[in-house]
Amino acid sequence: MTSITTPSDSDLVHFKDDFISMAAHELKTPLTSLRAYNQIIQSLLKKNCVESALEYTYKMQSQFERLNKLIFDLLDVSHIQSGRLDLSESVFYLDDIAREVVSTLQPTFPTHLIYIKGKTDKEVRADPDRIGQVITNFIINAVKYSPQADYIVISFETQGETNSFHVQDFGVGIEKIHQPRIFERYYRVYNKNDKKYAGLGIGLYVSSQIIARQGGQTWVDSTPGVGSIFSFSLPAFHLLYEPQNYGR
Amino acid sequence: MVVDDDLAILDIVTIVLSGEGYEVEPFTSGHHLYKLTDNLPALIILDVLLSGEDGRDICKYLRQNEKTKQIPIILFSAHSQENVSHSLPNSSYNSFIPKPFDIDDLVKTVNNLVRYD
Repeated sequence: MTSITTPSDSDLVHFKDDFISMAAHELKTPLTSLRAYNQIIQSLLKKNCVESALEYTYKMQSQFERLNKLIFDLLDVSHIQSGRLDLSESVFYLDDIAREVVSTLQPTFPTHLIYIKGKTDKEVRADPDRIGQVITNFIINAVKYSPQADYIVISFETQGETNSFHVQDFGVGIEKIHQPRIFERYYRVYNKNDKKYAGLGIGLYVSSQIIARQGGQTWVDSTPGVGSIFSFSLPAFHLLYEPQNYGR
Repeated sequence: MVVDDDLAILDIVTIVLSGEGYEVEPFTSGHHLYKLTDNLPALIILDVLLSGEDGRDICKYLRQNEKTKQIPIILFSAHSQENVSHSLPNSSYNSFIPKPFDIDDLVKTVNNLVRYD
């Protein structure tokens, strides 16, 4: 298990410069696809190939969603910094949210099967949309960093008064030197050849902040060349402290 | 041969160039480009910023290798050519396409390098 440390000011300046360059790159990538799919659709419609054109509108939709997620991630960083991250809490089982997220994400990841195992015995009180966002980030990362694998494993457990959620991949793993800093804002991992991986270095930061603001913890266990397990925990909700019975 | 770590871009380049009659081999990483010996491609389209890899390093390797140094290379990137080429001599690649790209420009560039090479 790895704890979180605070970056120095000079680190933050360096990360921020790198971040701006990467933000432009990451935003242009779905824009490239959108522009090209649009041209393909125009060409198909000119030939009256409506069915084929329709198929490409679905591909465009996933690029719009990708762009939308990027913009929301960027806004979240800004909101976190200014202490304005909105949370709308309710009581639920982590399992239910995770299964919803998996059923939405699985069709978009034909390369990886997502296995689910375990269960939690106690509910949590948190923002279900935000928890879904964290689970989504963990799953997307697991797929992205395990290109040679064909599955990832999601698991849950309740230990005492704590519910935990884990996403395990069988990919590149993370070198020890990066593990303490992986949840820092703008921090991006580079490999043994000193090459960085694509991304903005904000997804895990936003995820850890969402969990921290709901009384939980975020951590990673990883072995280079073997894979990683990204986890978060949330305290169990007690009816004793709340008059309402939310039920499942 | 096209190498990009973005599946949508690979999909698009494959669709567009297949439609022009080319046989397209899409790859998400450049590892195998270091092992090219037989069945050399007529053209390589290479993204600069691959996940955990640098397309420029692959480019330099291909140019230094006796078997691959004649293969035309198109680099494409969401970064500008100026940013991309500071550590790469112009002779290392044949053409640069900035992202977002126009698919007609892509086809024209490929045709120029392959059909009229």
